[in-house]
Amino acid sequence: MVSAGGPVAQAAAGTTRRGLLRFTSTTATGGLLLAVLDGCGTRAPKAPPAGESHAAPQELTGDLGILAAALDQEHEAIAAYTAGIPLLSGSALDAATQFLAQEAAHAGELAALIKKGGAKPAPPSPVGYSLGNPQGQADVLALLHRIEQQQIAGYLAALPKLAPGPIRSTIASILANEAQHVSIIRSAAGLRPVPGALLTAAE
Amino acid sequence: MTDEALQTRRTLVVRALAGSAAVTLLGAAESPAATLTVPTVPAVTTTTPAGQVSDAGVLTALLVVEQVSAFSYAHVLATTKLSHRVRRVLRDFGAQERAHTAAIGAALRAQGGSAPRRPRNAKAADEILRALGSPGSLGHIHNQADAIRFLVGLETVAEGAYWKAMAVLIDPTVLVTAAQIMANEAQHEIGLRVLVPGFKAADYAPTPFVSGRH
Repeated sequence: MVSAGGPVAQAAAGTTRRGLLRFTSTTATGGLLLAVLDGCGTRAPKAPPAGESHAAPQELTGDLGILAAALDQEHEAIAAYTAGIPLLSGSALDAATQFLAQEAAHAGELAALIKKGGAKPAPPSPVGYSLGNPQGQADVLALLHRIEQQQIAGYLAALPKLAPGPIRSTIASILANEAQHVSIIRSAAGLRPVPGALLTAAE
Repeated sequence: MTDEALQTRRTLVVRALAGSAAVTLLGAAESPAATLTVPTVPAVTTTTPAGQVSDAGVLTALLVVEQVSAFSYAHVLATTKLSHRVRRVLRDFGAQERAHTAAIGAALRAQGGSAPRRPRNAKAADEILRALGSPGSLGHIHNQADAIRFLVGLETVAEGAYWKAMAVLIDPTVLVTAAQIMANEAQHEIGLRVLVPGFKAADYAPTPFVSGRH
């Protein structure tokens, strides 16, 4: 397994953003994210329309396992964007930087929901995530595309397992944002941005 | 009563009923004496709203949104001077709206419901749009920029309807189909935003939590 601090981050060593992105372990994600956002002037994410502030604790108990799995997916996405951003340029860099902030907002919301349900949200995997060995922008876009597809598959599978109520709307609002991400990533990769009327994980 | 007076009265009724959760849509636009009741999805609340409204009722409300969306894309394509690039995008998205209409219509029929009448002209569509809270109307589109702004607003109306539906739908198959469509509407919103002159890359996805206009 290649961790987020492995070859991808090492490949970033030659980029001009090296000073900004120095990723040595998954536990560094928070500080690194702040550095990325400071460097790029990304706007602070808006608060979720429903979820942590709307959900009653008793409504969350049965959904904790699903929320924990979703949080781990978000951690993986944060690791992938963090590691891949140094290899991007132009509009792809701008988009990925914005998307990284949004993945962090998703993780924050999921962690808050888990806490409200009485559990402790897990940190990013201590052994890192399998991100391959991207060598340039095309490889990074392929990686981010794969990660977004995994998230979409996860959220689509999770939705019918969640109890009815505002948490479902929150998860759907995150899914829809991931769909926007994948659309822009596809466009940057030269693929049709919105290939189907019903989003699937195959996009 | 004059035609104008009838029209005004009908508009007032539409406004008064916007936000209600009535489950039938009457074809008011073709029948001056009729009342237009536009079904909407109930709001997301702290308490679990499941069971407060049937899946058929929610699907009826979603189908109204899809029908007016499909009509709107077709109307814009038929009546607005568009660049080749914009026309291609709108043709794609319009076809996808028609696919949504078919998918939600099939789900509604499977639940024992029947489809509301489609809007037959721009005036009827605008009445429905107004009742749904659309920020724009077909009657105010004069050029390509107007059309794109209108369609962005329309997509956010659709997002909002699906966002609310997520909390209340019961059937798991219907729920997933609705989520897939909501995500596609969110993609449309972005696909339209990038067509606006002066679009900034920092605005690719305006918010991490897509909930539309609700």
